[in-house]
Amino acid sequence: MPHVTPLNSLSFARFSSQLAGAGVAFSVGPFVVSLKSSITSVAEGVYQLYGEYPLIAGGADRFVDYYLALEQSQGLRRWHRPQVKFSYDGLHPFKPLPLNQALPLFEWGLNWCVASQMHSYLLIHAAVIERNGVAIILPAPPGSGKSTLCAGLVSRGWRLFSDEMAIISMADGQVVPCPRPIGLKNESIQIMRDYEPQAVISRASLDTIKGTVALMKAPSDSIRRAAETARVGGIIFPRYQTNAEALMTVRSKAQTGLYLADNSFNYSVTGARGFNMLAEVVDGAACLEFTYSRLDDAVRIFDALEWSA
Amino acid sequence: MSPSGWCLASGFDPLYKGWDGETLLYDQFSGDTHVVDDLCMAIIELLAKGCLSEEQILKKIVQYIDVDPGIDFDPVVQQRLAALVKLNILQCPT
Repeated sequence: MPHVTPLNSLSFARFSSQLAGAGVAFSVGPFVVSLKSSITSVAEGVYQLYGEYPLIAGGADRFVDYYLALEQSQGLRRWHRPQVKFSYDGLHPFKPLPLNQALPLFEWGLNWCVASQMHSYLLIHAAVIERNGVAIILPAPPGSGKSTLCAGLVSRGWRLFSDEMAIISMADGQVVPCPRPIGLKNESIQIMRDYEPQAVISRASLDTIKGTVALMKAPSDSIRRAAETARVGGIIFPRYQTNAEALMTVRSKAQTGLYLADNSFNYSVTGARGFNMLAEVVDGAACLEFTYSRLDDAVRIFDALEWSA
Repeated sequence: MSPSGWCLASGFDPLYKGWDGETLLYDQFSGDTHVVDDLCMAIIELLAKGCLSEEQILKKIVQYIDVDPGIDFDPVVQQRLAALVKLNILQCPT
């Protein structure tokens, strides 16, 4: 096991100074990010949420997948409704956002980088959790409770692969972990504060396009085991329904495949390889729907799932 | 074969995988993905060998899936043909 130096081996003062200067590079699952920012809330948030991620030592020869920067807009915007700009390799793919959304913008921007670049993987919009070498993909439309369920399960021993994206290797069909902070929205923030009081949750950003948003740090074990891939054992569509009894039902495999294709970031550019991989993943997985209203019920039922690698 | 029959759409180049009476189908030409039922797949497989009239399709399908003699199968096949045209998998007879 190679020795890993975590980002928080730097003092916060040194980290924030480096972040504002040449930038700080750290690895996030299968890729390396270099981030520059002189915004205090970004330094605080990244240090809090990414402190345990492997630091990539400086030097011109280091390999970096994404050079990112978050900087405050200049001109009059410095004093009136300050904004933050996201840049990727010097380009600005998005309009600036209010400064209090700098940390979520980092997450959204990083999602965009991965989704638009990593075509040696099939990328599907879904959360992924793992236990005993078996990954469970949780695809779901917004509002289905996917992130809350994912946060609840990883707070109770499931390993976090991703809250946002299933990253499936085109070479062998294994899911690749990319454990990043879980995006919690609106009432889910308080639900998770109550459910897991030990959880590290960032300051909330108000009035974003998704409402109030906060980020929950990935569990330490998930960060540490980010190189351990897993095969897909289940594809479970969660649906939060007020007062519903927890219920798992079988779902059509073909319809599951169609949903995943429609909700893939890059299926359309991967052609026949993407289809074949999608069909292989669906073929080998149990396809289910899960309705729930209480996290404890969900944890109990997921814990009882009997799959082995 | 006369171009006046039912034919697969020009360029249609499918990959597919079926489970429990449904098939996930990817057209490499258009890049579209669909779910079709077994009857649609039977029609697609028939037309992959060449264009056919509706009568010929019906006759072959009835033999192929052993339909009970009392059942009026015409509307069922017509509905599938129309659905496959809508998905740009089949071309209407001209």
